[in-house]
Amino acid sequence: MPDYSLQLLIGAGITLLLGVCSAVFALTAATALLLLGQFKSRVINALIRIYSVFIRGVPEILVILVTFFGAAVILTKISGSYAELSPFFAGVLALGLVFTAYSYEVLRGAFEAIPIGQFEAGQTLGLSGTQTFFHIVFPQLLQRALPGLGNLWLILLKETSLVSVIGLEELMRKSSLAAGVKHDPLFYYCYGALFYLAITAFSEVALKGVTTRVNRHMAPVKPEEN
Amino acid sequence: MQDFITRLPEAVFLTLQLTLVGFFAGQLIALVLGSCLHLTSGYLHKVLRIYPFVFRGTPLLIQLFILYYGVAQIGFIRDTFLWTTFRDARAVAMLALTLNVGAYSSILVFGALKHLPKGQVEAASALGIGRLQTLVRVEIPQAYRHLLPSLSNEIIFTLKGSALASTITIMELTGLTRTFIAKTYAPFEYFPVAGLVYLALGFVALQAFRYLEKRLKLP
Repeated sequence: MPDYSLQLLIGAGITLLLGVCSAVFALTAATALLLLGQFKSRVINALIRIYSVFIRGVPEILVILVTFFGAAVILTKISGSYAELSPFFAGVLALGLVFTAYSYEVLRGAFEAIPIGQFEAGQTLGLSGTQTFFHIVFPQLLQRALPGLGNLWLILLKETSLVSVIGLEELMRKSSLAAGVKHDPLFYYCYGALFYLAITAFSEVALKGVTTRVNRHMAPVKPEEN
Repeated sequence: MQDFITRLPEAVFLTLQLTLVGFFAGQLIALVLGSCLHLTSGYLHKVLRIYPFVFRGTPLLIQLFILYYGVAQIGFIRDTFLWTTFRDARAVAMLALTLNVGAYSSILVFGALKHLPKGQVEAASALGIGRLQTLVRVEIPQAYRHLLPSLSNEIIFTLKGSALASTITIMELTGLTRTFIAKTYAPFEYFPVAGLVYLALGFVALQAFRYLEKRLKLP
């Protein structure tokens, strides 16, 4: 094994953890936004729209930098002395905020594709609103949203590398550090890239498995053009 | 802020340059590779797939660092004319963006070609048109009509990707913003300005594509 393999492996673990935490944050917030959208309030929908357009149009690296420095400014003001957010939390916050917007768009598309008759049928059968949602709407939502969310996960994994610019020692930064110490950037960046490739390839296989499992009792839907 | 505004045009120009070169050069790779993927099968097809697999499976940032810091290590490159390219941060950033966009777009082109109705190729063959000519005259024009919306996403992706050039010392829009944030510790002043500029650039690109889509739409 090359030197620093263990360090890179630890970095890969942090990359995965960062990805998972950001994904959980984004999915939770996106679901909340989707529910907020159900109030059909013009103001709320306009605000969500503006947020989504702005954050998806700005480079992620800029969002990460601003979150990190912005949090430091705010925390310093509140506490009186210098304080900053740990790079990990700043990373989760920044990537979470960005991917909230992307997942919201995927979930909204999937939700709107479910025919209104499905809700009505649930009602006719005497199911309550929650029951209709969990037993009838949710499985179909999952089926339709899964391909989009899976793609987002693959993108998110790669974007986690940007958190290295605020000093989080994830896979990218560990590769940089190893490259610096050993004076061998070519080897160590390629080595790091190999770890990313492995994570992505593994994710793709896992996503395929999840998709098959989710769809096993479902009639196939035509994937949406985008 | 005054200082920031005066340096903004130069930074925006760099961002535009990186984005446009990366995007169009990437499309050139995509056109050739996408067509080759479409025409080949078996082992050759699998070999051709290695490049998009690697570039789509790794972060742009690490690709950029391999090309900028890694390649400089190879003695052979330092001795040849290639060195003028690889020691220039801007050229390397363009190359990285090109290769990245080329990988993503070639899969898009391949997908669009694959999903065309089979009858198109059969009809061309029945008319005695050669395979290559069928590709150029029949398949590619139709594929690109379907591809335009995806390509407009791709140019936004390139625009945002160009921000990574700031990590190898290039003072494009993100690099400039980053420098000012670090210098003044006033992130909330510069971020909205930079964000709006990115938004405006993206908007113009989307409008251009929308116009193109309208022009090329079949009546």
